[in-house]
Amino acid sequence: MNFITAKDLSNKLYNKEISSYEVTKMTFDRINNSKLNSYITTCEDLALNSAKEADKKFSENSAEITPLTGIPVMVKDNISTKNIKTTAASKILQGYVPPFDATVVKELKNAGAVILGKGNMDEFAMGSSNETSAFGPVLNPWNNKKVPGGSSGGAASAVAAGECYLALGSDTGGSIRQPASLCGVVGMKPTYGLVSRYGLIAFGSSLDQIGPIARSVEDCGNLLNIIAKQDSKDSTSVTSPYENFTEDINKDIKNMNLAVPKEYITENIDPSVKNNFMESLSVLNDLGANIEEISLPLTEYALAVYYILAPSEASANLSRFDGVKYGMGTKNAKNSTEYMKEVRGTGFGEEVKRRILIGTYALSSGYYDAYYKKAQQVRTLIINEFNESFKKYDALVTPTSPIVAFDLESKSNDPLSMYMSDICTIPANIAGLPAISIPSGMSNNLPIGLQFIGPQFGDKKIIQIASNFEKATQWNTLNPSNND
Amino acid sequence: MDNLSREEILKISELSYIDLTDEEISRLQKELSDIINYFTLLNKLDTKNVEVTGHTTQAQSVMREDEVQPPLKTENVINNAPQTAGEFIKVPPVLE
Repeated sequence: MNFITAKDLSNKLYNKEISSYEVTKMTFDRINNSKLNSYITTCEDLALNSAKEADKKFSENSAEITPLTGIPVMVKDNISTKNIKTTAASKILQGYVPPFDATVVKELKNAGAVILGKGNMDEFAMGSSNETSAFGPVLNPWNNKKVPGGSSGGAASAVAAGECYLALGSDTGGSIRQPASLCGVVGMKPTYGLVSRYGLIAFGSSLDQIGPIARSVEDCGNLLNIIAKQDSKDSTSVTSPYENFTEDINKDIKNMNLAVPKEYITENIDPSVKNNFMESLSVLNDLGANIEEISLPLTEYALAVYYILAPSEASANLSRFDGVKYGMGTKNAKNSTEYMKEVRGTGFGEEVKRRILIGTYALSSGYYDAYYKKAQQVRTLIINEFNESFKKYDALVTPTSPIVAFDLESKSNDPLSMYMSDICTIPANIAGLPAISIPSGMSNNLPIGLQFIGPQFGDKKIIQIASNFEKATQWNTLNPSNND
Repeated sequence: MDNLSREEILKISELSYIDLTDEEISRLQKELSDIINYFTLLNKLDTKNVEVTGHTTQAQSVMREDEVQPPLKTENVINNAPQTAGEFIKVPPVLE
């Protein structure tokens, strides 16, 4: 019951086989007895109240019932929730209670979802292992000695472990897809602009995108249907070109043209991930897709572009954390300047400080053209290269991560090597493209993920392709419950 | 490139308003230098006359009617401040 899809749960709620109240209670039993540390904050009373409201709608057969009504959902802790503590897993925001809801949270509430609490994550979404959280690491539900990936590690871990049915994450360089891959669940980064970022604690504003994590592609699409809306509070948000992102999931993918960019099969790819990828290609082939290998030579520059753009934007975005308006303060400072420097020096964790400093350096006088401007120009070239490939192909298919879940603490002292684990996910953020990761197999009882990258606003198409693969393989139905 | 000097790290820390300990400064000299060295990879590409991309959607300035909306309540806003005095947020002296 804890591992069924949100769609199946919705049907059970609709047929009154179980109530949302019972499901929410049951889910909290799991959360409260879990050692995974997926949640930073839980809000049981609020959740049970929303569950009761949802049950009322079901008992009245209300016209307001949506696929999310009564479904227990987790929200990543960098997404603002009114009256629920929101910290982005940082000490500097300890105790902060937003006086407003992010637009996506408002949409969840309007749809009748039950918000269970806030997902653990890398501090300010900066990390690929969930180890930079000020509230301790999250454990991978498949193997508690391994990381869940990051930065939406709590969200992916909770969906995999039956501690929620759906989750909202955020993805700046792979922060939804990589943990989804490492935890064996589905995660999607929509096209940049499809989902409002209002209320998302900003990291790299030109790269950040909120998206769904779920146990099936269809669940991801249904959640996207609720949150993909133009929002006057986010001037980069656009009107969704689709009414329904899942309307094509039952159409086959015969004669679709898929490309494998060879640069995504890196030298240091885990052999089991590579073998699994080749098997996945033959599944897609059997489903009737045409698959060709192509070259996207600019891929090798994507990581450098990302690690200039994201920290530069972060250094500006994180300047608002000064210990004055919210979060932690300090008592000893003699003047305001000293106060802010001390708060920021002690409130931010190592990785966040590292990135603010890199970004400050790249934007500082004398270096701006050499780093930030150069990276923005190479960004243009990368976008053009993707656009060329999408003239011929419906989507690109790649591994999501070159490696499966790695040991806790094994990479935390080597920032560059940690950054390299995002090599397959970063390019989609640079170009603002939609991309989805779905489970594609196992290696030593650890999940492997497969990624589809679509053209801008090709969200519906990659959902269709991913869903076809999912139905043919059913890797998404495995769960780590035997590890309990 | 040589490692960033202690003075260079101090300058960036000053610009970022982040106090660093001596231990952090020496660690960051190497770490930041490794990362910044990695950026020089981009110099292999000729980007003369290439436009920059700031955002991937063609975001336009969005205009709206100038209508009065209900603001957040003062208490909801200052409740989050670490130090307050009445309806105000309290900070250490700005001018000495």
